[in-house]
Amino acid sequence: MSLRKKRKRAASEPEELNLLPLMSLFVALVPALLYSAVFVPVSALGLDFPGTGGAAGASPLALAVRLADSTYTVEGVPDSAYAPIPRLTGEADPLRELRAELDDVHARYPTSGGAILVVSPQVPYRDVVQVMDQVREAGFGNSTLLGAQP
Amino acid sequence: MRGYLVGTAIRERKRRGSEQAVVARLQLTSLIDIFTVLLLFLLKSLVVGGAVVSPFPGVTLPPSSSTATFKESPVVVVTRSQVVVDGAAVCPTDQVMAQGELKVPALEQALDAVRQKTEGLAERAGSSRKFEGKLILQADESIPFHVLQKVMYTSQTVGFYDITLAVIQK
Repeated sequence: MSLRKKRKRAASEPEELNLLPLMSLFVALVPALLYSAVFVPVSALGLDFPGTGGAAGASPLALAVRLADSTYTVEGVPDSAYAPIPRLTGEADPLRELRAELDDVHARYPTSGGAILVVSPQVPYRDVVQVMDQVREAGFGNSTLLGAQP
Repeated sequence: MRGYLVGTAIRERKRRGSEQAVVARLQLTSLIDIFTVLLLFLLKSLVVGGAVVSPFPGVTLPPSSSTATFKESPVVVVTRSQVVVDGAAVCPTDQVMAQGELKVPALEQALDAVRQKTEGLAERAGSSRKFEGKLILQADESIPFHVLQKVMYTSQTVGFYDITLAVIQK
């Protein structure tokens, strides 16, 4: 093949993309992202304690949710008495009932913030977090945890 | 026979000569594809602004709708078998469960050591890293509340007033 033909053929071939710099970038990025990636999403749940200046201390309403071994009870709402909600019956969703009551209280006292959770000693941690979620989602913010007398 | 061998050797030499002229190029396209997919997946799982907290092995954290992030703090873990402070076992959970007092002495000692260490580091680093009394509590979802109450009470006696619970995002 003559030199002219060779040159003509080389000019007609498409030029290859140099991917090595991109590879170097990826090789640097992947370990950095692996270090700061979270595969099990763990998030933070704030809480207050009595006497530490939580939202419940400054609220005009002394809202309390009592978590007994078998019931939830909303307390501290003036002129209202909420019946205890059985939480281990398995028939209705007790958390939904609790949420409806909390929504009702928040609609009547929209400026109130924080609620005191009075928890019985044997109540599992999971149930405490579930009630804290309901309180927060109803618009009362962080809960103040208090242990009930056994 | 001899001629055949000579001819073969010549052809072999020619073949080798032509092979040497070929430049082997690495095919990076498929590798780039893998890296691109991996990069997108990792970008999705990236946590920006806040400390990365991983669940302690053997602990089932309770689910919650909270999406708040953590600040860098010491971690107290309450598993079904033991209480752990910053990765070191402090006392059995059964012992905490059985005791009547709210204060757990072994936990108090461990947290006091953490506090002193943090304060020592703060002294060396100036005002940039001071003790803020923050603590992350990871507890198994089946732990009774009175155990957590004792852990939180003991933490507060040492000065850790700002306790954040670690939960699994729903």
